[in-house]
Amino acid sequence: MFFHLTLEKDLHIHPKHCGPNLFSIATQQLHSEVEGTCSGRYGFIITITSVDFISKGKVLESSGFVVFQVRYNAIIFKPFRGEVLDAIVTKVTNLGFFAEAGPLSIFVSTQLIPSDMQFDAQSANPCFVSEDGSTRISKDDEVRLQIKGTRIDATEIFAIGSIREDYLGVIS
Amino acid sequence: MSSTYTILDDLVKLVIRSFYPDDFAVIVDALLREKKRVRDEQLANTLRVQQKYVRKILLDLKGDSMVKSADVKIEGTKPGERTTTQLLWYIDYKHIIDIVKYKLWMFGKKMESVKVQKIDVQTYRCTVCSKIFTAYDIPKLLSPEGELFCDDCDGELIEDHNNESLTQTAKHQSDLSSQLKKIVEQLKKTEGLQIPIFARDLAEESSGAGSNLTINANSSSGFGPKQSAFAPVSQSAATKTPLNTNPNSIDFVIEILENDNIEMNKAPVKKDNKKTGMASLPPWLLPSNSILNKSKNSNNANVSQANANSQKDNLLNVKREPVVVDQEVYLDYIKNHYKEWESYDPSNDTTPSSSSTSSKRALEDENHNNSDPYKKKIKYENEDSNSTNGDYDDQQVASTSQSPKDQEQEEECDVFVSIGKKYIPLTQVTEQDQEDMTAQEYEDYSTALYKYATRNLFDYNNSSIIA
Repeated sequence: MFFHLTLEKDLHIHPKHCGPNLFSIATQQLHSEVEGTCSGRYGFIITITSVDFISKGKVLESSGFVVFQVRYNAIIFKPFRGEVLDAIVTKVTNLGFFAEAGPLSIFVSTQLIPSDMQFDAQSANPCFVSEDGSTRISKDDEVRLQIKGTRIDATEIFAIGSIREDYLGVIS
Repeated sequence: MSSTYTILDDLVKLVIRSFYPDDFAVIVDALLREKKRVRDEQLANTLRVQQKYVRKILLDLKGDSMVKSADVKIEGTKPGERTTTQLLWYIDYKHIIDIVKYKLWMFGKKMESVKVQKIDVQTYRCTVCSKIFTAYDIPKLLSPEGELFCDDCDGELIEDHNNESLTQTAKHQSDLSSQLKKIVEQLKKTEGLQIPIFARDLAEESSGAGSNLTINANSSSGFGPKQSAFAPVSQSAATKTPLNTNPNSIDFVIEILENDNIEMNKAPVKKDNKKTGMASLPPWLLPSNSILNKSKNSNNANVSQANANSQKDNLLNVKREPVVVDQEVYLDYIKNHYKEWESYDPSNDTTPSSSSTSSKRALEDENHNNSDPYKKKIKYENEDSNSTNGDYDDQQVASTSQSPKDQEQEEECDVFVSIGKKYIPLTQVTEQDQEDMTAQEYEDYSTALYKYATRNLFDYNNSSIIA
C-alpha cells in the first residue's frame, strides 16, 4: 500500500559543497540517500516529492560537515498481509517462484501455488504448468498474488505470497 | 440465588485450578469463603502463611484480572485517631466471567492463527543437518543458480511436509477444547443469571444506587451460600421464593382515584362524603331532616304512611323516572326542614346530636309561638346580631311582625330588606339593589327571600290541598 508521508532527516553536507549551489546539492544528496531505501517502520521510500530545510546548517567541529535538518514529503510503499499485488516473476525454482512488486521481493512456495500446477523441469525455462497446459508461470510473467506474510528487517522487507486463492495467478 | 453463587464459585475454582498452581487455588478458595472484601493480612492469618506470600499471589492474580483490590478509607473510631487507608481484596464475578470468556476467545484465535501460519508458511528441512527453515528465510538461502542450500552445512533443502504439524495442531486444538469443556459448560450456566456482587460491604454501598445487585451471603458449608437478607427481592426472586407471612412485612397499597368515571369507585367516594361532617350535607340529607326520621317521629298516621311509601319509592325507583310528588310528604318535609333550619345554631350545630336537640327546641318553640313561627326566627336572628355585632342595630333585617291575618293580606309587602339606610320590600329588590348591598345585607336578603319563598310555597300547597 502506498502512502504520502512527511519525514525528517539530518542531512550531512560535505564542506566542499558549501557554495552558491549548496541547497540544490543538498537536495540531490537527499534524493540519493533516501530514495529506494527501506525502513522497517515506514516501508520502501519510493520517491521524494518536496523538500524543506527547516534549520540553518550547523558545522560539526570534528569533521567540518554541515548538518541540515530536512523535512521532506515522500511516497512510501509498505506491504501488508492480505494485500493483493501485481508482481513480475523473477525466478522460478522447484520450490516455488520469486516475484517482484516494485522494490518488494515475494516468494510463492509450491504449497501456495494451485495444486494442478506442477514444476516443469523438462522445459528450457523453468516454469510451473497447469495440467491442461493452458496456464504457465515462467520468468517475466506477470502474476497477481496475495501477500500471506511479511518479514520486516531494519533495512529489508520480504514477503510470502500466494496464488492459490480465487482470481489470483497469471495475468493474461 | 444459592445455586447462582455455587455456579459462580465453581467457575472461579475451575479456572484457578486449570491455569494456576495449587497455592493460588488455596488463596482464592480462602477469599471465596470470606464472601467479603478482606485484607491480605486477614487471609494470611486464616491460612497461616506469610502475608508477603499472600500479597504476591494476589498481585499476580490481579495482574490477570482474576481478583480485584480497592483502597478503602477507614475513619478513626476515637477522636484523635487518623483516617487510614486499607487495601481490600475481592472477587468480581461479572468481571471474571468477562475475562474468562475473553481469554477463551483468545485461545481459539491463537490456535487458529498458528494453524493458518503453518499452512501459509512453508517449512524446509536440510537433508544433511535436518535444520528447519521457513519460507521467510528463502532469500538468504537462495543461491545464484536458484537453488536452496543450508546456510550451515550447504546441504540441500527439501520441503517439509506440513501435514504432520497440521495434524498436531488439530490435536492440540481438540485437546484444548476438551480441557476447556468444563469451564465452557460452567460459563453457559452463568448465562441469563443475575450476577451478584461478591462482597457484602460492596452490596451495601451499591444498594443506595437502586441497582438490582445482590450480595453473596455467608454459606452453611462454605460452598453453598444462602440468600442474603440484604438482597432486594426482584421480580423473579419473588416468584420463586415463598412469600413472607409476617404481618409486619405486609404492605397495603392505597390507591386514591381522582377520576370517578369508574362505576365501582363511586360508592366509596360517596361514603367518604358522608364522613366529612354535617355542615357539608344538603338539608335533605341531614339526619334530623331526613324524611324517614321525621316520619317516625310524626304522630300523623297518614304522613307516616306517605313517608313509608316515599321510602319504598326511594328504594325501588332507582331509575330516574318522573316522580309524582306526594303533597303531604312534601309539606311535611318542608315544614320539618324549616324547623330544622330555624333552630340552626352555627356555634354548636356541627354534630347530628346537636342538630337533633336544636330541632326539638324548634319544635317546642313552634308549639309555644304557633301563631307566628317566623317571628321567632327573626327574633333569634336579632339576638344573634346584637350579641355578635352591635353596629348592625340600624341595619337590621326587616322583620315580619304581622299577625296571621295581616300576613294573609299583605303577603308581598311584609318583608323589608335593608340596602344601605333604605328599607325596600323584598319583592321590589332589583338586581341593582343586590349589587349595592354589603355582604351582610346580601346574606340577610337571601335569608329573608328563602323564608318568603318557603312560606309562599307552604301557603300555596296548603291552599292546593284544601282546594
